[in-house]
Amino acid sequence: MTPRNELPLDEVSGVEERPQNRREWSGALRSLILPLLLVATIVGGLYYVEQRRGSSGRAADGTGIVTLPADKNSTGRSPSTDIGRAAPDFLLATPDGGTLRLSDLQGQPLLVNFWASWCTPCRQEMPEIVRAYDTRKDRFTVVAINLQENAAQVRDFAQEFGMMFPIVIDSNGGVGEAWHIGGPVKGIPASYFLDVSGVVQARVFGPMTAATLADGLAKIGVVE
Amino acid sequence: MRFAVFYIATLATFAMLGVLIPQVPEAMRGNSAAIAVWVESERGTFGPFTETMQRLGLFEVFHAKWFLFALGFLVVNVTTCTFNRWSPTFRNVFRPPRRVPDSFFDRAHNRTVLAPIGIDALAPALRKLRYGVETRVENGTTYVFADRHPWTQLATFVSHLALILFISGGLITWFTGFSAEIFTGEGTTAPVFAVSNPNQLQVRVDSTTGRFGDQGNALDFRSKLTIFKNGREVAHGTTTVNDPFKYGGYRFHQVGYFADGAELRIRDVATGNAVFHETFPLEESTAAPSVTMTDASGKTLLVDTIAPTDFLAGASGAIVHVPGTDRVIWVGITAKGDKAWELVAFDPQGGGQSGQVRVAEGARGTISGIDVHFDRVAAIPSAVGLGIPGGDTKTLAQLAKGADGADSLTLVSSNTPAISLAPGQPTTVGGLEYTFLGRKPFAGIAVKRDSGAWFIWIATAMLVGGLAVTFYVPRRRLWLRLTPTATQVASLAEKSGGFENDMRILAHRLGVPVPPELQEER
Repeated sequence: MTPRNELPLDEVSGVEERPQNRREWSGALRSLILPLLLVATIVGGLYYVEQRRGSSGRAADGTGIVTLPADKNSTGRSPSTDIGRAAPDFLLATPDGGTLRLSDLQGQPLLVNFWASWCTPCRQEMPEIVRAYDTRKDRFTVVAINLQENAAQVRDFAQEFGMMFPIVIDSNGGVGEAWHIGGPVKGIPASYFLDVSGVVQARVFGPMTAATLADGLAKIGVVE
Repeated sequence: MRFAVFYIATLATFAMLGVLIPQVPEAMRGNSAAIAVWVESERGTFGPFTETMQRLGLFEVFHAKWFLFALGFLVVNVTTCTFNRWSPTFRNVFRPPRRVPDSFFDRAHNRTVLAPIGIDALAPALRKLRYGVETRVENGTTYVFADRHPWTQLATFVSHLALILFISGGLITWFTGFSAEIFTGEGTTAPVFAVSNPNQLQVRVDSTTGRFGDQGNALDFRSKLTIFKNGREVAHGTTTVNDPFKYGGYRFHQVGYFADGAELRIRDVATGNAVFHETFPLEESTAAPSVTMTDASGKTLLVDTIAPTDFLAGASGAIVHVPGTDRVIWVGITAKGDKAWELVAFDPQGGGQSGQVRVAEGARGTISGIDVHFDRVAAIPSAVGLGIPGGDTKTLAQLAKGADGADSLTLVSSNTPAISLAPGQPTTVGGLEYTFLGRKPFAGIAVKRDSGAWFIWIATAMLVGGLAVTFYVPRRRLWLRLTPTATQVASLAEKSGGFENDMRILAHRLGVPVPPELQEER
């Protein structure tokens, strides 16, 4: 054993004046390709996270977009909210704890309206929708889709504004995302007019007036 | 090294572009329509280059993929460089060459020769200078290895790691950071994100207050908030200007307070359905006269600010029922020149000169036996064009305090009579029931999420610590060869003059002469 304060013989060697300047690795693989691979891995990981963050899956309670049965798609093309395409089907919870599936309402013209109680233009147009429904409820129905609010808020709002038509809650925003509400600016209110076959015939992004509402209803065969 | 300098200079140039060229405002990001409008507004400055610049991302430099890639590549470079040097530096710190060849004492960059010194005196002197000392004897010659604070060589890695953390923190903030401002009234809810975000949060301002000094200067704003996530209440707390409320990595700062808001509900009497229910800010103001009316005996009849309901050519005012009398007087103001106001009072039942009067601000006049003092011009909070049912598109809402100090909301339209509403008292006009539900202040809440902030704080501490150790903790490594005729000292190359200084101190403590080449010039 070497005494504590005596230098071991095998450590007699030269001295590197600037050891920190010496590189351990060299060559293109370690100097260029490995760093690039590392960058690609990091960027890829972040891109994956970003993609996952933007995805619109089903909510925890199983509600959200569901497959439109083939026999309820008269267009023969995949569902979309473009004009002339079958509207994407969904299953959403009602404020009272039930569920509603859009395709179950086929056979009657529909106005699908996305709204929220915090949305001022939604509140401004809602009396017009209520008025139109109250006067023509035997000829069409309204499906009001609330975006991500709680059932109590939705019930209070519906009661105050007299919304007697079906109301559902898009709890995670997935249906709104799939329906591309508001088009390029992604906003509410957004309204879709579906004919008796569930095909989109008109869309209105932004608040509707009595006139634009009447125009939309006319396109699905509901005239005054 | 040259590549590193070139690369960092290039990055700095890119960053400079982001500073010099106007960048898309943060609030517009993600909204392609808004960005298109903004870019169009820049066409006047950049002309035909505008589209090319947009395609190159020069209007969003710090968010451009190429800029982020360049930053990421820098991180990888620094990481690679750090690991590259780790092994030799680690060896040098923990496994240094304790015995050097004799020839090193003749060629070392820093070297000197002292008078012969015994190890018994030398070792304690070196230890007092905070050197660790190891010795060995070979053929009658004593070799000494003295090392002081060798670990400080590792501080450079701390500084490198700090740089990596800085850039990583910036990238994390870019990818996961969020910033938005909400302006919402007491009792109302507003969403944090754009519609249908799967992580949507909603903020309800349960109450908000503002505290002001004697000069009207803001002292403190404070709000109680309830946070909802996907419709479920998830948090409840208080935010102030300096102490934000925190939930789920988001900070909710109160950044504003606005006292003049009103909640108004209008029902269709026939159906009972609400046709309007809004809490709105009254961000404009209407000039209105504050007056004091007294009778001939000096008894005060009215002290009030008259919210105008009639806008005539050049004058605005309202009919006032003078309390305690059966008199009705129209009271208004009109601009006199650029800066002065004049009170105009008119008694529809009065006649001749006694039935009308014009009074300057601060003066008094008499109309039909009633003394009218024009106290001052007040600014009444107001708003236009709220889409209030029953009125026209330019309905004016005014929030004033009545003679009794109570709030009063006045709605003025061109096609219907003015409606004055007291809090909580429904008024039915034209089949609509109007209820002023009270004054509601507004809170400005900034919502921020900066996941990379911790990285930046840690990196700052590491950088400061690393640099402090590197520059202020004296590191030195000495090899000494003790013979009966001389004491040879050799050391590593150092840019500072620390070696000479240490040798002078050592010679002084050992009581040997300082070699001529180390003597300080006087």
